[in-house]
Amino acid sequence: MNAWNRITALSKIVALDGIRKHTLIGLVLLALLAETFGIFFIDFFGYDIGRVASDFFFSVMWLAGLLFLFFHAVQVIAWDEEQKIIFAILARPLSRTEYVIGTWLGLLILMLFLELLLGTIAWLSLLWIQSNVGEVYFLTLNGTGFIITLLGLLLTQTAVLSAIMLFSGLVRGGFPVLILSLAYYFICSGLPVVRESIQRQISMNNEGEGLAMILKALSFLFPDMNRMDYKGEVVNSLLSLDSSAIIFQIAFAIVYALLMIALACHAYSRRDIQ
Amino acid sequence: MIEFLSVHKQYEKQIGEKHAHVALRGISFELKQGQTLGMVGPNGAGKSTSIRLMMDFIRPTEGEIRILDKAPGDPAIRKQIGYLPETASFPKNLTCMEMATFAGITCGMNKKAIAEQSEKWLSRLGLWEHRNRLIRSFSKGMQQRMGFAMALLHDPELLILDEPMSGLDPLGRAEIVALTEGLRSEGKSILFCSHILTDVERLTDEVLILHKGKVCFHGGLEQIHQQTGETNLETAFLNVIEGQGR
Amino acid sequence: MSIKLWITGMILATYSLLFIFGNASGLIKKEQLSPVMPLSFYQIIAPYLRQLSAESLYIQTMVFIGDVDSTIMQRPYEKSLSAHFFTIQKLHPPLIDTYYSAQGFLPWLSREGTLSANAIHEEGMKVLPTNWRIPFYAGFNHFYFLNDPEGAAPLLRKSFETGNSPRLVGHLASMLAARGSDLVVSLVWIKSMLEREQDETIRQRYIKDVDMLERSLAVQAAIRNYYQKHGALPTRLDALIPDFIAEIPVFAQGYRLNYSDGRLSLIRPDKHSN
Repeated sequence: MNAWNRITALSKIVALDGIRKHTLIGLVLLALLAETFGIFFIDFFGYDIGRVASDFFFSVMWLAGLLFLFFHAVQVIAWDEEQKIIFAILARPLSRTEYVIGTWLGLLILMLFLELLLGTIAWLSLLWIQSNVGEVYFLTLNGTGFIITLLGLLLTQTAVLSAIMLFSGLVRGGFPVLILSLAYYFICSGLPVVRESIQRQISMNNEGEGLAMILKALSFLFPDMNRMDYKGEVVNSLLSLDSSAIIFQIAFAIVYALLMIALACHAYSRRDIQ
Repeated sequence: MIEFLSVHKQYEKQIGEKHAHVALRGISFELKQGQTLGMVGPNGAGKSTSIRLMMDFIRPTEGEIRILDKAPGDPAIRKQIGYLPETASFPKNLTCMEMATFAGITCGMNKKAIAEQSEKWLSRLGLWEHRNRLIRSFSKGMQQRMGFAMALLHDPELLILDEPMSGLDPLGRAEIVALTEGLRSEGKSILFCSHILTDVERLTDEVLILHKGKVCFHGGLEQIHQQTGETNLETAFLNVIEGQGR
Repeated sequence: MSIKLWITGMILATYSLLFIFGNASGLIKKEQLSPVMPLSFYQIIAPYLRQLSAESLYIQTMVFIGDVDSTIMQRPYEKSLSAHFFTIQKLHPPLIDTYYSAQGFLPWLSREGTLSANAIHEEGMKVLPTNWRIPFYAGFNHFYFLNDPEGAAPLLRKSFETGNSPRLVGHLASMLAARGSDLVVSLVWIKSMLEREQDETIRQRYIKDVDMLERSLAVQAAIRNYYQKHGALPTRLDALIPDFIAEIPVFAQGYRLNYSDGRLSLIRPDKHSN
C-alpha cells in the first residue's frame, strides 16, 4: 500500500509537470490545427469521405502521440538525469523500481489525457461531418469501432513508451535514447515487410528459410506495431474482427508493455545514476 | 550512522578515455550518532562520489557502506535521511507545496503532518508566502532553501548537506548556519560538505579531508591543529594537502 | 546600425525581386507525375500512416490529372499515373475513390491503361466484395476497351450478384455471355433472374429472352448433330436446313445469330460492336 502511495505520488507530479509544460499545450494546438486542415483534405475525395475523415483524425492522433513520446517522454527521463531532478526524487525513500513505475505511470496518464482529448474532438468532428454530407458518402460511423481503434492506438503507444523507459535505463542522455527509440520503432515497422518479402521468396524459390526463422525470432523482440491498427472498423457497419482476436491483441500489447517495464526496472536497479 | 569500510569506486571507462577514472581508493571513515562531520577536499577529491554512494545513486566497486546500520540500497533508510544536493533541482512546473506534499507522502507522512511540517520549514526558510508559486520562478537561492526544507520536512535523524551555502547571499548563509547549529544542538547527525572552511570549522566536531580518492585526515579540529601546527582550518587543510602532494 | 540596416534592406530587396520574377514566369506545368516511392517505403516508414499516405498520394494524383491537357496525344505520364493508382490501392485497399478515379482515367488512355485499371479492380473485388461498381467497371473495360465480351460477362454477373446493382447489369451480363458464344450460361443466368423478378413487364422481357436463347441453343445442338454426322462443322448456318433444323430463327428484339469459326453467338448488329 505504501509502495503504491509513493508510486502514485510520483506519477502525479510527473503528470502535473507535463500538463503545465507548454509543449503539451502546443501538441494539442498543433493537432487541433491539423484536424481543422482535415476538412480541406477531405474535400478532395468524391465518395469515401467517412473513411478518409476517420483515417485523417486517427493519423493526427497517432502523430501527436509519437511527438509526445519521442520529444516529451524521452526528455522527461533525460531531464531527470541531465538536470539532476532524479536526485531530488531518488533522495526520497523511493526504490528504483518505484521510480520507473511512477514515472511511466505519470507519462502514461499524460498520454491518455492527450489522446482522449484528441479522440473526443475527433469523434465530435466525425459526427459533424457525417451530418453535413449525404448518406452515401458517409454511411456508417461505428462507435464500437472507434473505441477499439482508439484502444489499439493507445496500447501501441503504451508499448513504445515502455520500450523508451527500458532504453533510458540502458543508455545515458536524451539524444541516445531518442535515436535508440526511433531505430526500435523503424525496426518494428519494417520487420513485417521484410518477413513478408522473404516468405514470397520462399514460396517462389524455396530459398531463405533460415533467414525467415531468424526474422521470426527477431519479431519476438520487435513486435509488429501495426497489428492494432483498426482504423477501417470506424466506418464498417459490422466489425470485421472477432472478439477473441481483439482480446488476444490487447493481452499481447499489455503483456509486452509490462515485460518492457519489468526489464526497465531491472536496468535501473543495476545502473549508476550519474 | 554512516560507516565506510575500505570503499573503492572506479567509474566505467568512457569512449575516448585511456583509463577508467578511480574516484575512491579504499577509504574508511565513520560518522557517529549526534556527531557533525565536515567533509572537505579539493575538486575531484571524491566528496561527491562519497555522497552519491551514501544515497545509493551509485554503487561501490569494492568495500562496504552502512547507513543507519543498513545497506544504502534499502530505500526505507531514506526516511531517516535528509539530503540536500549541491544544486537543488526540482520539476520546474510544480509549486513548492506540491513538491513538499510529494516529499511527505513518500516518507509515509499523513496530510496533517505534511501540512504542519511544510508550514514550519517553509516559514523558517522564508518560502511560506511563495508556497503556491511555480518553482521555475524561483531564484537559485530560493531553490536552495527549498531543497533545505525538503531535506528537513520529515524530521530525519541524519542530514547529508552537500554545499548547503551554494547560491545563498550572506543573509541566507547566516540563516543556514544558525539553522545548522540548531539542528546540531537537537542531536541530529550531520555530514557537512563544503568549500567554505570557516563554516566547517564553526559547525563541525570532526573533519574528514579527502584528496585524490584517499583519506588524508580524519579527526577532531584540535587534532588537525596539533598535527599541522596551524591555528585555523584553512591553513591546516592546505598543509595536509601539500603534504600529500598536489 | 545604419550599415546593418542597409545590408538587410538590400537582401530583402533582392529576395523580393526574385520572388516577383519567380511568380511572373508562372508555375511550371508538370508533364510528368513525380515518381511514387516503392510500396515498402510507406509500409516501413509509417505503417500507421499508410492510409493517410495513400490519401495524400490520391490528392496529388487528382491535382495532377486536373492540370493535364487531355487533347495532347502524347502522354508521358501514363505509366506513373498507373503506378500511383496501383500504390494507392495497395496501401489502402478499401478506399473506394481509388477504383472510381482509376476507372475514370486509366482505361481511356491506352490498352495498357485498361489492363492496369482491371488489375486494380481485381484487387478491389477481393477487398470490397459487396461493391457492385468495381466488377461492373472491370466488365465494362473488357467489353468496351478490350473487345472481350466473354471476359466481360462473368464480371458483370459478379456485379449483379452483389445484390446492389441495377437489373440491367444482370441482363447485360447474360447478353454478353451470349455474344461470347456462352449460350448455356446466358440462358441459366436469364432464367435465374426470371425466377427472382417480381415486375411483370420485366418478366415478360426475360421470358422473350429465354425463348430466344432456347431457340439459339437448338441451332447449337443442330450444329453438333451436323458435326457428328459429317465429321466437320458446317460452313454456313443454312447448311443445317432441313436435315438438322427446320429454319434459322429470326428474333424480334434486334438480335441475330452469328456463326463464325465454328462458334455460334447472339449479337445486336445495330449497337456498337468492334
